[in-house]
Parts: sequence; structure tokens; C-alpha cells
Amino acid sequence: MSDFKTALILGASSGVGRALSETIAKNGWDLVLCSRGERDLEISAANVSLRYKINTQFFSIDINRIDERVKLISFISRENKIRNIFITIGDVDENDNGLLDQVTIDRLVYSNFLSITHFLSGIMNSKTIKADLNVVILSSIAVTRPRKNNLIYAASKAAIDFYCRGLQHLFAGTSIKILVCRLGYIDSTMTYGKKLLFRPASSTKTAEYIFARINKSKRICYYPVYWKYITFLIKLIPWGLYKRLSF
Amino acid sequence: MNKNKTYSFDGTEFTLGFCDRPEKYNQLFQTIDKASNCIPRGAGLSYCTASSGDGITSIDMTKFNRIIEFNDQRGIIKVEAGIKIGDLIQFIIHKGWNLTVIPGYPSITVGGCVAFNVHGKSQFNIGTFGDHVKELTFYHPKYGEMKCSNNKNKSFFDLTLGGFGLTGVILDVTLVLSRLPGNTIIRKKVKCYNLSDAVGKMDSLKTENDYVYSWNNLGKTGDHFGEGIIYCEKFSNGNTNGFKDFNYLRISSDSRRKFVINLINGITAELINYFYYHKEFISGSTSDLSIRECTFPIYGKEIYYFLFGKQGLREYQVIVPYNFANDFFARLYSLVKKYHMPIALGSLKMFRGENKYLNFCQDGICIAIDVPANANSGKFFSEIDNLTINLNGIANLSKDSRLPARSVADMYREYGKFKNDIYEFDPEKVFTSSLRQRLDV
Repeated sequence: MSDFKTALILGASSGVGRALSETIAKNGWDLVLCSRGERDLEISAANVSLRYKINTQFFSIDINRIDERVKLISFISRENKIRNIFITIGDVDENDNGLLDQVTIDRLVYSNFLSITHFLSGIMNSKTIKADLNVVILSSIAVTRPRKNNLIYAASKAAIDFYCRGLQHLFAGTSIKILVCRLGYIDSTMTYGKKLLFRPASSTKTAEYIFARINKSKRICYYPVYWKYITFLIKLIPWGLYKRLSF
Repeated sequence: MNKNKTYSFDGTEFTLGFCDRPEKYNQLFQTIDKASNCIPRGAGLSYCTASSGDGITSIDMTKFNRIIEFNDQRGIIKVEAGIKIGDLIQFIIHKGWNLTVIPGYPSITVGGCVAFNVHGKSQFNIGTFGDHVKELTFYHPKYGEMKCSNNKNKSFFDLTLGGFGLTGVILDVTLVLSRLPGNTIIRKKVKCYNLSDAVGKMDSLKTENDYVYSWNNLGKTGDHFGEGIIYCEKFSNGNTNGFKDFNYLRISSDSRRKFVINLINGITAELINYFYYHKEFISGSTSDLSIRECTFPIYGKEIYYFLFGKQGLREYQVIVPYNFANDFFARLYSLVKKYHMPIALGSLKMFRGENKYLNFCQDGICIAIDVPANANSGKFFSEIDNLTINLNGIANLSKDSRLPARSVADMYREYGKFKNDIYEFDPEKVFTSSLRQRLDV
């Protein structure tokens, strides 16, 4: 593990991001929580500070806004101790069949790909951060093979997945580590109350799995782990059959 | 949102409604503002469908489970309403504090405790949950976020305590804690020969102990009807481990129904009661227990609820004024004989306080009865309704999925006032549930 035991979580107010804040705090690390909802962040920060006696800061930030993103990048550069960054942002639209209006497409592409790319690029270019950096990015099993549902979301996730794997190549041999976590069904607002093929994994267990993989040599991980094999099989399905599937 | 079947914990009724589980405040307010009718939902462990209804959106509050403020000097804690009692206790107990009123199972939420103004093992000594609420905030689209307490917006405060979630979604609750008097509980067991004997003994033991309650075998006949054990518990400093963190089993209305067959009948109920009674005496009349073992009596014994199978169980919990207690016991005995009801559990607690709205509280002895849900149990309970009404008793609405509105109106003197006040508060009935519809309030 890095000596710098402070983690920044982007998207900390819900889902895996919030579960990660609990898991990381439980391990005694200090936290910087970032997301759009100031009220949620303030309460989450108070909660983990009270429960685990750690130092917590929070930033209400809209990552899609350039000025706010720049502020966050300069904060990270200034606060030299932040060497663990978890990017858990995921934005979906329930009508996402790939043929959405321009505003929604822009929002999905910005939230899931462009803003994160700008943010990571800004961090990596920072003069103060040259080594000992762990970045964890939450990708999705949706990147396995294009399908008709959640198309813009999946395309954006595929793009950020691709970009991060490119960064792994760029920083190979350095102490900058980038871990891509491809998540299957996770218990969240998105999956709550829905009948799914597989039972969603708990966000707490997902967070624990991800945290245990920090600073390890792994570049890509799947959770739940069985998705590694399912995605492998999905890739093998011939087009003639695949086009008839509805999932 | 998909339509979902939601069962009451006792498994006797279900509703077809929508469900949502927001995680952020803006999502929560959007869900409420969008839904024409909604109702907050905590652990979903009410015996009736208090947190769901046909076509109604149930808002699962369990993600709002954080600690907001804690004053270690004064023992005051502010928490979100979806926090589980077990989770909260694990936090405060290590700091030398305890919740004064603790309901029976750790996964019950603080919001649920407020909505039913629940009681613990020793209502006589410490009152109900609401007595220890300093302030709370709820959200209703008509009023926005409303802070209320005994000093501020008191009428809303009173309507929310034991108001079945009908005033809105409870967002946060500030609780006054009590100092933990010790790390161990000394439990003494006292034999009682019947229900009347139990009441007499409990009356003499209630002030010198922190908790006094009983287990009674209602399968016994004649003078032994209600033979059992009185548990007297007192905090002390002993050699137990205090309160170890634990991962409690989640029991839910869905998981309870997974055991298909009902195993409770006349023979098995008698066997269960026989073995329990003897096991309790073999294990000694005095024991030092950890706080964990004593806090949640049902913890680790969840199998009991599974034994009722898919068809479910029915519970009747009633407070009868002390002067009518013996009369009630005698007539209850006749009813048990008449219907040949296998009674899996009988238990007594002592109560005191003034009855307000539909809160389960008044001076008297509280008796709880569990039976398997079948055709006879409905008739049996209907007769107990009449008995309760005749003897000025009140039945616990959170434990009963069938109690009709007219019986509730006859039992609770402030039924009309509650109906009127809740209607004036929210004439559009934005917050409603199957329970509200049944109670006709």
C-alpha cells in the first residue's frame, strides 16, 4: 500500500462510491469526498468521521463543469498527500436506446467519458504528482459487446475503459497504477426492485473487493468475479445468434 | 418503476405497489413529488402492510442510514431515519451510551420506531420510543422540510410519533440517550404458576429491575394457564464481553415466507413450550449475560418465525387495564379452549402512560399471543377484539394485519381525533398505505 493514506472519491454520495467511503474509512484512511449533492456529502463526511475517527473533507462539485474541475485538480495538486483516486461516476438514462436527444447524449458522454478524461489528464499533467498514484476507475460489463440497451452509456464506458487501458500502457513501469473495475449488476438505485438475470452484488462487498486490489499489479478486474467468464462467453456468441438476443 | 408484491411480516396480506430506494436527498424529494401516493418504508418488519399499498409507491429509506451529529458529553445523537437500531447501538454502546427504548429486532429502523412509537422490554419504567425523541425532521410536499419537537410545531410532532408515516417521510431524528449503567446484565428467572400470578409477581419486581417481562405457556390448562417464567434483568459490571459487534441475520417478510410448510400445530406448540420451559430452568435461575444477548431477545432465534411457513402467523398484542386483567385472562382461556388454538408464544409486559392518538400505550398489562394464521385464528382474534373492547383494552396496530376500523374506533378513544387531525394535515392523503385504508383514517 502507498504511504499516502488519503483517498479522493469522485461520485461519493451514492452507490459504490458511498460504499467505498465507508470501506476506506474503516481502514483508517482519510477521505476527500466529491460529488454534486452538497447535503449528501456533508452528512456522509460527518458519518464516516464520527464512526471511524478519520479526517474528512468534502467538495460539492459538478465534474462536467470546467471551472469546478480545474478547482479540484489544483486542490489535488496542492494537497500533495492525495495519491489514491477512485472515480465511481456513472450516469445512465432509462430511455437510452442510442437514439436520444442531443442534450441527453452530451450529458451521458460528458459524465461517463469526457469529464473523466479531462480530469485524469489534468491530474497526470500536474507537476506535483509524478509518482505513487493509484487511480481506480469503475467501468462496466456493458463494454463487453455493443447491445441495444443503454447504448450511449455503454459506448461512453467503453471509451473511458479504452482510455484508461491506454494510460496503463503510457505509465507502464512507473509507480502510477490504474485499475479498471468492470462491474456487473450491483445493488443500486438503478437495479433496485428490478427483476434481473443475476442477483445484484452488494455495494459494500463490491467496495471491499475493489479496495483490496489497490496497489496490486492487476490492471483489470471484474466484480462479481463470474462476470469475467460470462463476458468471455458473450464475446464468442456468433452474430447470427447474438442479434436475436434481447438483454 | 416496476410493480412489486409486498408482504406483511406475518405473511397474511400483500399489496401490489411500486417501490423506490433513493440514495440522495434530491432523488428522495423527486420521488415524493412525482408520486401521487407514497409511504416511507424502513425494515418492512411490521406485521401489517404499513409501508405499502396497492398502487402506492413505497419509499425504501434504508440508504438514509447515517449518523449526522453526536454529542458525547450530553448523550444526544442525530441520525437519519433509515439507520438500523442495531447499527446505532453498535456505535453508541462503545462510547458508554445506550438507547433507552429498544425494539425487538436490530434491523428495525429509527424511522420505523418513530412511526409506530414502539416500546421495549420495560415500557413501565422507561416509556415508549417517542419519549426519548428530542426533535425530528420530516418532509411533506405541502409543508417542505418541517422540524418539530415538544417545543416547536408540537402538533406535528405528536401526529408524527405513532403516526404510521402518514405525516411524511421522516428525514432525521435527534435522540436523547441514556448512560450505560454497566457492561453486563444479570438475569434472574422467577417461576409463575399462571397469568394472574405472573402479574402479581411482576408488579412487585418492576421497580427494582431495569427490565421485567415474562414468557407464558398458554397451552396449559386450568389453574396453570399461563404458567411460565418472569425474567428480571438488571445492569451490572461483570465479566462478560459487553457488546461485541455482530452481523445480525436479516429477517424480512420475504425471507420468512421461504419456509413453505407450517410446522406449528397443537402438538408442536405444546412441545416447543414444554422444551423451552425446561431448558430455561435447566440453564439456572440466575445468569450473567452480555448486553448483546439481552438487547435483542429474538436475535439468533429467527427460526421461530420461519416455522409458521408460507401461510404465516398472527399476533395479538393488547394492553388491558390492571383491574380487568384477571377477567381478561379467564375469558381468553375460554376462547383458547373454544377454538383449540395452538399458541406458540405468550408473553406479558407492564405498561403505564396516557393513551394518545393511536399510540399503543396506556396503564395496564400487555399480553402478546402468537398463533399460526388459519381460518380459526381470524375468528379467534375477532372474539379477542370484542373482549378487548369490553374491558377497555387497546390492541397494537403494528402487530395486527386484520383489525377492522370499527374495532379500532371502539378501542382507541382518540381514533376520531387522529382521523380528523391527519385529514386536516394532509387532505389529499399524499402519504397513504394499506394500513391507512384499512383503518379508514
